Parts: sequence; structure tokens; C-alpha cells
Amino acid sequence: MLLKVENLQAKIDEKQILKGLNLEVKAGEVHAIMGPNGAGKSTLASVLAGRDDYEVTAGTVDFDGEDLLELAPDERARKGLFLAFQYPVEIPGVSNKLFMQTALNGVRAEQGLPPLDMFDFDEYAKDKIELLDMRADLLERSVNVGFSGGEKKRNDIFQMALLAPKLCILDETDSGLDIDALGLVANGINTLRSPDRGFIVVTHYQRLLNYIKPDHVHVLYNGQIIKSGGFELVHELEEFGYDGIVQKHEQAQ
Amino acid sequence: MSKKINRKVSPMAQQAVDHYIEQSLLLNAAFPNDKVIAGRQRAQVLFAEQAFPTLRDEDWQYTKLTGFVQNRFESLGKHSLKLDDLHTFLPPYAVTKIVFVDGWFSEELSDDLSVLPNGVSFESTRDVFEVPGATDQLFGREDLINKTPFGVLNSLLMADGYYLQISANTLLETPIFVLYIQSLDNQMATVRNHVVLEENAEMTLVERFVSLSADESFKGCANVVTEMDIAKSARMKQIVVQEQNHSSYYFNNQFIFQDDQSTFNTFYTGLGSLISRHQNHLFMNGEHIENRQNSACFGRGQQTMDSRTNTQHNQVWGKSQQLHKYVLDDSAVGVFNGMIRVDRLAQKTDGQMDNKNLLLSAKAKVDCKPQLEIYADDVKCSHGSATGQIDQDQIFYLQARGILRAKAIEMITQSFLMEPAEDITNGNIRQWIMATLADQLNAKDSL
Amino acid sequence: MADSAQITELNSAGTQYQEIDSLLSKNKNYKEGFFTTTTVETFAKGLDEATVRAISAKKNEPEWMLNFRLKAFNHWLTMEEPHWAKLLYVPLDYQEYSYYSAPECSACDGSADSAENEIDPEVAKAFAELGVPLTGDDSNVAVDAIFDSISVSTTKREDLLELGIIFCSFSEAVHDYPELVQKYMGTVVPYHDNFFAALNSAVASDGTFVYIPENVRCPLDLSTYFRINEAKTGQFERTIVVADKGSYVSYLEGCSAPARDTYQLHAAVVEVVVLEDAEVKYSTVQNWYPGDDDCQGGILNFVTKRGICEGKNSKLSWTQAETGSAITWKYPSCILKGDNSIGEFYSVALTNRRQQADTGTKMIHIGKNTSSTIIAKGLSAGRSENTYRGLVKILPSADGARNFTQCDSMLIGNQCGAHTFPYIEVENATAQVEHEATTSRIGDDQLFYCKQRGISEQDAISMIVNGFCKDVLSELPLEFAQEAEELLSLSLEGSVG
Repeated sequence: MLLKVENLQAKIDEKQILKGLNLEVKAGEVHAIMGPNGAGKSTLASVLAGRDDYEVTAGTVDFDGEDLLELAPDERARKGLFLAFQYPVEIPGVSNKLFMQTALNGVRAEQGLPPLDMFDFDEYAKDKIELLDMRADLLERSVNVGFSGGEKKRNDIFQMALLAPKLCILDETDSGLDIDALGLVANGINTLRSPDRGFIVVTHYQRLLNYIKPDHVHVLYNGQIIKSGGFELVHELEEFGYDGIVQKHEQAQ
Repeated sequence: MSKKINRKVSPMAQQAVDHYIEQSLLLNAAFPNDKVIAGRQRAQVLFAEQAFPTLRDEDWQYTKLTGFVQNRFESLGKHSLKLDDLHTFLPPYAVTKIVFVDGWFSEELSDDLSVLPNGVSFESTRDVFEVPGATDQLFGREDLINKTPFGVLNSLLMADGYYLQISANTLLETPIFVLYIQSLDNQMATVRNHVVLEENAEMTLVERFVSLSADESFKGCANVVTEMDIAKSARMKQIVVQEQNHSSYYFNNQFIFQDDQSTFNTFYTGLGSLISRHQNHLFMNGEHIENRQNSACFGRGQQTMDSRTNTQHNQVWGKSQQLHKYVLDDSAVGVFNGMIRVDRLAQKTDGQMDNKNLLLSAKAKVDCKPQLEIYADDVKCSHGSATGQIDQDQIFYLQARGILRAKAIEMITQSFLMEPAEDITNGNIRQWIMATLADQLNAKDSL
Repeated sequence: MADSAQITELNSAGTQYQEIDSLLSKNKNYKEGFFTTTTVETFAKGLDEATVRAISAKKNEPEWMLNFRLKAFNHWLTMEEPHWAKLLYVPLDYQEYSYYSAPECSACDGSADSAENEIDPEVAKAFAELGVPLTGDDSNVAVDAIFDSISVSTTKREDLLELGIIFCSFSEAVHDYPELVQKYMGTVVPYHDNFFAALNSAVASDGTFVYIPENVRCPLDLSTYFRINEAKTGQFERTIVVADKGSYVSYLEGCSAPARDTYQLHAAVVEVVVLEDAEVKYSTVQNWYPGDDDCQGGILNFVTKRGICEGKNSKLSWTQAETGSAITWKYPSCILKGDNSIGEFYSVALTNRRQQADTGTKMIHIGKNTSSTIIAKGLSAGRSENTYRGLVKILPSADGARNFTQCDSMLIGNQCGAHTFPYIEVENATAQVEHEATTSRIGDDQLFYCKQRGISEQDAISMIVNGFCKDVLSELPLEFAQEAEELLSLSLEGSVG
């Protein structure tokens, strides 16, 4: 089991957002978490990545045999948990190259590998740039500064490719992308799918999922997963909307 | 730590100091109120010690008072103005009119203030002198006021002014219009005002400073101190129009104290006076306060137009915005000094200050000092200052559309100077201000 | 020499080791905080006319130099210590400092021929440890190394002399090039300019003299490394750089001092003269000991640096990375007199602990079409106060003058202050002056983003800080830029979180 979330509860500013969430992700699986606005989708992504605005009030998270909640955000990252941000952050004056070389060498140190020098890193990064069809000067530019929304998202996927994490969490990566950018991002994700890697794709809309075809789909509502299923659930949502599923759920209760 | 500066007072300045102390004694005799006399005496000690600021004082290095101290203004003149004399100075929209002549409140020239709406009370400071016990309110912030040189002079010669109070939840729709008119030659109008807006009250205050005569041989001096208390959720809008004649002097120190969620919007336009200096001391003492301080100054001839703000963010989530513009022609001097100070407590502050200056002549000059003093880390503060001449590309663009060069320059200058007035929310007042600015700019060639 | 002997004492400072060790443990971040034990000759504390005469005698100076000193000293006596800057310090007791200190061995015979002399091995070791190349074999830079009051070594001077370039200690220049020194000394910073400049003019210890002849492009970076070693001494170096018509030089300056629990005084004067079509690039990495967390010790750095772009099309560029000193009072300035001349000021000033810095520049535009650029980045951490103070003055003669100023402050933590006090005086309608300032901090979202990529908080902060300073650091020569980057990270260690 790559990730096992049990009864996870979390709040921000005294407001309870997650109310007992359960989720299991095995290596090689792609899980989609869908839900209406305010359901707690982004909170789940943030809590797993360790953003300290959120307070975990109950529950456990096991990540590849370790207690995830005990780890600092950078430790989680070095152990192979990657978050693609809904709003990737700008860092003026810091080049993508320096940023990613530092990050990659942190991961490599964790794995007991020697650091890559500038030249090895360039070599390593070149392939990934081509893979994602990124602009050639990407590495020289400041992190996300002057990037369009779509470029920022692609830069995050590019970082994911470089760091080769065990678990990728994509937080509304599709939001704000036009159809061309969405295709590039989805293509990037698909090429990174592998038997030793798990994905959690958090999204409000099904359009990214049409490209990615997740193995499991969960509907998150009011801080809990109220329905799980296969890819067919995406079509059910398309047809009945969140309201329909939420209504059924409430009737069942 | 602070060392007393050993001041050398020039003989000319010393004579001026002696003169104003003498004026103060005359006022004591004319209005014998013990507490007011005691206040003047405290100011006298300070004034005798400090005299007038000189170019060596950092706050006065750009505003030369050497000419000012040669004057011997007096305080107790008796005017003979009639209502008919005022028409040209009144705005073209409905107001409640309050008139001060040579610094003294005139009941007969003002509107009938006994019929002010419920919740609004007005008293002249001179009347306050006559109410035993009520004078204490005049001295509550004396130490603060007496930190500024013209605050000291104001305390020394304190004569009249107004106390205006708007009760809680009162919305005063009609603007209060205060006209300060210099009618006699060589008078110093010393005015001490206090405006109190109680919780959730709202008002608009328009103040206009004029001279009866534009004749250069006629001169006066206005020295105003205004305290404003803006309580929780109260909303104060203020417009100050300074159009005294070009041989007069204008000094105005406003001390504004804002409480939680209150808003304060002030606009100052400096057009007249040989030397004018308008200063806001703004204390943001509550949370989620907003304010805007704008100014537009147009100087020509030998004028010195000095406008300054000191904005103190003392609590969280404060937002202050400023835009100060100067157009300077002939040998005019523009002085802008703005300070945004952010206390350690004032996290989430958003403070912005902009200053833009246009020099129209080779001899005009401008001295600016936009300052930031920041002690909190989670804040967003910025200031900008830009000085230059009219963009030749803009002129050319207008010419290319068939507009005469002179007209093009006039249009560009006008729109440049009017920008700070665009934030005035009352349409009538905004149009009146724009028209006033346009008149002044167009009159420049006739001077 | 006779009267100087009585105020001279020999002092072997080895006894203070324990004290220094305990201090160093408080200041792990200051790697230059080691202390050199060597036999030194140090004047007794105190300053009067006899001291000034003794310094001059010690250096075998000609009459004109002594007169310059005495004139300055007498004027200094009439002046008051300035306290207008946003710096809190108790008025200094100038009698509590020693005004001359030199390693014994090279001081035996004035400092005139120090390059040929053997360098005291302990001093050589100190410079080696600081990474300053004194052998001069393998590097691209010529070095003048100054240890307390004297210059101990100047490398590559013969090579340079072949090109007509004079690169020597100030003391040597007084002897060997008296006409040049007299021609330029005091022309940019007069002895009466300000309190600390007057003090420097009276007791100037050593410094560097550079002259680049007409149409010569100096092939090497010239550099001076200043080291204050002795406790309770002052360093008062005097540096003069003259670039004759059409010449170019890049000059670097590095500074450090041992960790001491008492204040050390540094009052330098730098004068730069740039003639027609010439260019001087003057870079400084200042890492004087900043004092400890309890506000004990540190260098008091009162420096007057000024250059004049005398000729047409001349250019002077100041670049500084300031991380040290307990107190910094420093405004490297450009007088843009020649038409079309250019002045630049690129500065990073970092303060941490209890440091106070009040620094900036003055750009005085006199000539037509002169232009200046100011990029100042201030970083405050700990309980420090960091102030930018700058003057841009456009005189009526400066038709078409241009200035652009950008001041950015970054606050790290909530106990420090960042202040911006610009003075803008425009007296010419054709001038264009633009000033922008912003204040920011390292955003929580930026830190989290870095951490989510596996970067530790410490690395993230140093990365963001260096990014913030990039526009300035990129103006420094390469090795210097690297040193500055490392210094920034080191100086910020432990300041966040």
C-alpha cells in the first residue's frame, strides 16, 4: 500500500473541513477525487503535503510504511510525495535550474545517490523539457515569474517529471487551462504513469479525466468520500451532476 | 540621547518672536479665560525657546521662512464684510455655510446654525472659551500639536475656530462649507478646530481659504490646526481648497485619529499663497481602517507649495492610499514630504504613496521626500515619485489629431493635475474642483 | 621619532585567547572572526596633535602631508559627531582608541618598501585563511593587503607598472608620487567635508593608490583587502583611484575583522576621479565583524566614499554587498560633472542581530545629459535596523538629466525595521527622475512551495534572498558575487523559523 488515509479530520481557523476521510492508493493506480466547491478537495491535497495552515484533529496517514503526519513538508517531498499546485508560486530572481537542481539533489541524498552537478543536471533535464514540450529557455527563467497560468501548471508537471516521485497529487491542475494546454498537461501526466507510482488527481471537472482515465473515482462532499467507483462514475457525474449524487447520498442516510 | 540644539536666532526672527508674544498678551487681555491664557503661556515658553524653524531644520530645509519672519501680522482687526461680498466665493451646490473672517467666526455671515439637523452640533471655539470647564477639550492633544512649530504659534495665538460634532449613526447629507476669508491687510487668522464623528456617522466637509483682494500689497496669514476624531465605522470626507492671494501665507496642520473600520478621504488643492504648507498627521489607531489622501498643487511666480503627510499604521489590516501631484511653473518650488510608518503591530498593512510632478519652466523646482519606515514584516508598502516635463510624444499625438500645440499642452497639464480629484465621490464637488483647477491653469497666462 | 617612541608600546596579544574563544562560540556565523597573534607595534590610546605628528613621523612623511593632517585635525576639533542618521550609538570617546597599529616586522622601517620585505608569517597566514592571494602567482587579480594601519603587501605591481599603472599603498604613493597625491587628495572629499572625513584626514593610516594612465585598460582587477586585527584600534584608510582619459579599471575591496567584544572604529575616505571617456568600476564586499546578539562589539563603519565624473562620457559605478559592521554610515556618491557622464549605485545591505545600517548614495547631476541608476536592496533580519538614505539632485545646469531609482526592502521576522528615506531635488525642467520603492517579505506560500519540492527552509530562504538581490549581485565580478552570495546565506543563518 502506497498511501493509506484513515478517518482523517482537519480544520482551518476553527472551521472543520475534513470530517473522517478514508482513502487507499496502491502503486500504479490513478485515483480521481471529485467534488463540488468547498467539499474539501484542496484541503485534502494541502494536508497530505503538510501545509501548516491546517490542523489535523484526528486520523492517520501511512505513506509507504511511514507516519506521514509526523514528517515536515520538505521531508515528505524528499520521500517521494509531490504536489502539483493549484496556484504555482512565483519566486523572483531564482532560476528554475537552481531551484530544481537543489530539489533534485535533496531527493537524491534521501535515496543515497550522489548529487548531480550542473552538467549532469542539464543533461537530465533536457529530456524532460522535450518530453513536455517546454520552451528551451525554461531553466534560465525565474521560477514561474512571467509565466502564463498554463505555463505555470506545465512547469509543475515538468518538476514532477524531474523529481520522479512515488505519489503525485494534482490539485485542480486543470483549472484555468485552455484545451491545448490541458492536452499538454494530460500528456505529461500519462507519460509519467508507471507501475511504481500512484496518482491522486483532485478536480472539479471531468474534462482532464477524459484524457487521463483514472482507475478509481471518488466523490468528496462535506469532508467525506460519499461515493467511490470506477471511471464510469465520471460519466454518472456528467449526467446527473454533483447534486444528483449528493441527493442520493443524503437520501441513503 | 537627544541633545538640545543651541539655536542661533537672527535679530529679525527675534523681533518677530517678540512681536507674536506681544500679540498673545493682547489676546489674553481681550479674552480673559484662565485656562486659555495658561495654554497660551505654555506655548509662549516653547516659542521663545524655539522661535521659527530655519533651513537647518530637516523638516524645513526646502521651505524658506526668511521672508515670512519679516512680517508682523496682527490678530485683533475688526472687519466690515457684508453678505454681498461673499457671493463669488460660494460653491454652486447646496451647503451649510460657515464663515470665518480674518480668523474670527462670523455669525451674521454664516447660515443659521441653530437649525442644523438632529445629531449635528456646532460651536465656535470662542464660545467654548466662555463655557467654564469646556475649554479642557482644547488642550487634550496640546503636546502633540506643540511638536510642530506652527502648532506652537497656533497655541500661542489661539483665538477662534469651531467644534463640530456628528452624533452616532447620523448621516449629514448636506456638506458643511467653511469659508476662511482674509478681509483686512496684515492679519493672522489663527484657527483651532475640532471635528468629532461618532460611531457610524458620516459627513462631508469642504473648506476654502480665500483673500478678499488679489492685490499683491495686501497680505494675510492663515494658521490652522484641526483635530479630527473619526470613531468606529464613521466616514469622513474632506476637501480643502487653498486660493489665498499670492502674497499671503498658509499653514495647516491636521491631526486625524481613526478608529476601527472608519474611512477618511481627504483632498487638498494648493493654488494660492506665497508660501503654503498643508500637513496631515494621520493616526490609524484601529483595525481595518481605510483612508485616501490626495493633493493637487499648482505653483507659479515665486510660490512655494508644500504638502506633506505622515501616515501612521498602528493596527492590523490598515489600508492607506495617496496620490500627490504638482505642476510648477515660473520660479515656483514644490515640496512633497510623505511618510508611511508601519508599527510592529500593524501586520497586513497596505500602504501606497504616489507623487508625480510636472515642471513647466526652467526655473521651477521640486523637492520630494517619500519615506517608508517599516517595523512589521507582513505588509505591502510602496512609494513612487516621478518628476519630468510633459511627454513630447503626447503633445505630438494631440497635434497629429489637429489640436494646436498650446492647447495640447494645456489639455495634458490639466488632465495631469486633475487626476487626484477623480477620487472625490460627490459629483457636484468633484466638478466644482475640476472647474476651479481649470480656471487657475487657464489664468496662468494672464498673470 | 623621539617623541613617538614614548607613546609606543610593544604588545603581544596572546593573553586574550580565552576571551576570543568564548566570543567566537557566540558568533559561529562569522567565519572571519579569528584573531592573529603577532608582534605588533601599537600606539597608546588617545588622540591629540602629538598623535597626528607621531603617525606622520612613523611614516616618514613629507612636510605637506603633515600639514594636511594638522589642518584637518584642527578643523576636526571644531566639529560635532553627526547623529542625524537612523543609527543609535552613544557618542564615541575618541581618546579610547589607538590610532596606529602595525605588525612589528614590516614596520621596522616605515612601510615604504613593504612589497620587497618579508611578510610576517602570521600575517601571511591570516590572509591565506581569508583566501587573499598574496603570492600573486596564479590569480587574475592584483592585491594590496592592509593589516591594521599599514599595507603589508602589494602584488603584481611591477607587471602593472610596465603599463604605466600605479598600484601601491597610499603611504608609498606619498613618497614615490607626491605630485599625483597632492594633485588629487582632498579634491573630491575635502578634509573639512564631514566629521569622519576630517578625522580620517588627520590620522589616515594606509590605503591604496591607483592611477591608470591615458587610454590604458587595466588588464587585472585591482583589489585591496582590509583587515582590522588589533582590539580598540581604529582603521583610517585613504584610497585614491584616478582614471585618466579613456582608461578603465575594475577595483575591488574586501574587509573583515576579528570578533571582539569592544567596538572597533573604521573611518575611511575613498576618492575616485574619472576623467573624460574613462570608466571606474568600484566593488566592495564588506564583512566587518557585526557584533553579537547582545549588541556587544562590532565595527563602527563611518565611511565617506565619493567619486567625480570629471570628464565627458565618464562612468563611475559603485557596487556594494554589505553584510557586516555593527553600525554602517556610508553613502558612496557620484558627482556627475562631465556631460553625458554616468553614475551607478548597486547595493545589497543585509542587517541581522542588532546591526544598524544607514546607507545609500548621492547622485549629483551637474553636466548635461548625465544619467544615474540606483538599485538598492535592503534585507533586515533579527533585531536590526536597515535604512536606505539617498539623494538625487538635479542642478539647473543638468539639461536632459535622467535618474532611475529602485529601492526594495525585505523583512525577515518581526523584530526588525526597514526604512527608505529618499531625497529628490529637481531644479531642471528637462530632467526625468523616477523613484520606486517596495517592501516585501519572504512569503509563506513561497516557502511552502520550496519545501514541497524537498528544499529545506534554510536553503529556500537563502535561495529567495539571493534571488531578491540578483540585480545587484550580477554587477559584482564573478568570484566576488559568489562570496557575497555565501555571505548572505551565512549572515542569515538562524534568522528565520
